[in-house]
Amino acid sequence: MSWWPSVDEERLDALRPNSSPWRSHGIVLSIVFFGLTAVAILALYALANLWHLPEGVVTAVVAIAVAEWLIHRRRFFGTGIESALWLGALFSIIFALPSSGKPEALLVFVAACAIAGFRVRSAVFGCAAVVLVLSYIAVKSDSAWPATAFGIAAALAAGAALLREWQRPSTERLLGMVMIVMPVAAEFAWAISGRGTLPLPFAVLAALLLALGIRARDRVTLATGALTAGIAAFEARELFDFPLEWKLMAGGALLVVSAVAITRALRGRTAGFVVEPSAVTPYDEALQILGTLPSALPAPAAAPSGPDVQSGDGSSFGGAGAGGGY
Amino acid sequence: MISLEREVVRLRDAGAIDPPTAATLIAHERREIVSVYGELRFLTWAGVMLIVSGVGVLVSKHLDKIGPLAIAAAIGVFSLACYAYSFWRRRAGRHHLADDYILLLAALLASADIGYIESQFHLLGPVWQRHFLILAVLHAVTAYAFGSRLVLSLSIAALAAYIGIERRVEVMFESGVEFAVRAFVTAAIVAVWRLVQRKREFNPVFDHAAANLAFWGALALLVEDHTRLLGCAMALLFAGLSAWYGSRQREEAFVIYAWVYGTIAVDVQVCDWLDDEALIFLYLITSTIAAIVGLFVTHARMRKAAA
Repeated sequence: MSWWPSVDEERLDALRPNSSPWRSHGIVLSIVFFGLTAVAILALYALANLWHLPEGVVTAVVAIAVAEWLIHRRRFFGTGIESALWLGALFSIIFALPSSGKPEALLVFVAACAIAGFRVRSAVFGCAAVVLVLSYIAVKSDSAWPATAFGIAAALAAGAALLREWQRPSTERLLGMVMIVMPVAAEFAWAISGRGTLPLPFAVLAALLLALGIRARDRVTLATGALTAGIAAFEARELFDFPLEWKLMAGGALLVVSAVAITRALRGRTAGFVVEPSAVTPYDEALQILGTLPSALPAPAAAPSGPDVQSGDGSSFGGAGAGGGY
Repeated sequence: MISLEREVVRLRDAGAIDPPTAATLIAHERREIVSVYGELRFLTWAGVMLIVSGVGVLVSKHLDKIGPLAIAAAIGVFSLACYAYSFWRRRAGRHHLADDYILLLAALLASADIGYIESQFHLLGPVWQRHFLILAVLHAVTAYAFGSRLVLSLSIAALAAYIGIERRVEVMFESGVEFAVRAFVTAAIVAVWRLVQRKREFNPVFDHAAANLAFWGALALLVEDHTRLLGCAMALLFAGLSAWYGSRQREEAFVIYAWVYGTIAVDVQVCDWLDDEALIFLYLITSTIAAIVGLFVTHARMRKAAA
């Protein structure tokens, strides 16, 4: 009886998905299964509550039993179902507990995420546990500094840990996710404190991560470095005394020019960093299309200001729901 | 950092992958070759979106200072410059990963400019909505001229806006039947467009747009009591079509649409019929498990067929 895929099985699946006997899904399907399973767990919790049963315990026992049966007998690992069952089980117990309203309750959620993350080797749950630790520090501390420092340190530690060779792809995914998410969490902790701008720590972290990424030729570390540089630029916004729109346009132009310059510098290279067009997946394009659509029809276009046109009378077709005369 | 070199070597030695493929994979595992193409594309796209956001803020903040004519002219000139650059690159036969996004910038600026001109000068008067149609045509022509799926998605969005599909989710629930009819009309136009057009690489954009619009229309019918059953029936009909198409084309997304939208529609209808809360929760547990099993089995069959 194996509790989870062996190192060899996990590595083989990373190279060729579904090569091992364990069943797993791609990210989109896993999210869908996770969502559907969460609905079933919520319904079970509500039903147990309605029947005056101990809803937390009932839901947890059923969910963990089903999850373990799926893992051991059906070899589910990374399908989205068993992870939702485990997390749902632990959260059910927590939600059934009497609420104390103390910040320490966050630590219970940290434990739930860590236990579920460890059991199903989920990078998302593991990372959620680290983010919740940051939230706890932010809530407990009077200053935003400790939470921000924790976020930056966690990102740097994950980046440094990625320098050594790991055997399990799931461990690498956890470290990669912590490295990417923690600068954003640190920035969020700092921003909601409303204590002015803090570009320097993020700029130093960005420089370190970019240096690490270039040295190790690691795309995830490089991407995190670029993201952190963006956060540093955002934090530096008040250092420049010109209007927001010009900052946005100048920042955008800088990104485009940087991308063009890097592409030119790498053009013709066949080793090291290259720009061979093989890395774009359909999901990349779908995400870009979804990200572009909100900007497709800017607000001025959808809301003409003249009184004669607001009514939409006489329109021969719909038009953003205004006319309706078709 | 992980290296799967030893697994690649094992597969090569077992004859599961050929030596040239193995050599390429080993080079990637050793990080002798690291492509940053995807990252640079994303960087350029993010730059374009920032510029467009900046233009949006500029338009909204400085109308009084600069004047509408100057703003419209400036955005128009910038947009034309981007179009001209794209044409020049295409005629020169050169390609750069930033080119797609310069074209996208041109299209987004044109959208902003035409919308702004219409909102300020009311050139189309009471039929102001037709500026969306102009945008749909402009973006469609651009998309076909440059083979850009990104710009094609802008064209479909403009067409949907012309017919009256708003981007706000709450509209779907507020205007029920009216939204549904508009969604079905748009889905039908997109489907016909897809059938008559010849660019195969555009088909996925049309397919996803038509499928989602049709499902949204069906879900909008679920809002009102007198159309709920019809909405459920239509959602099931579309789910059947979507599942059939997804299985035939081996497109996972359409099978997911079928199960997710279909389950939502049936759940809403059945929960409406049931009076007892306990029965509703029992039904939801059963239907969700059925959907999970159904989707799992369908996906497993698709995977098996593809192998």
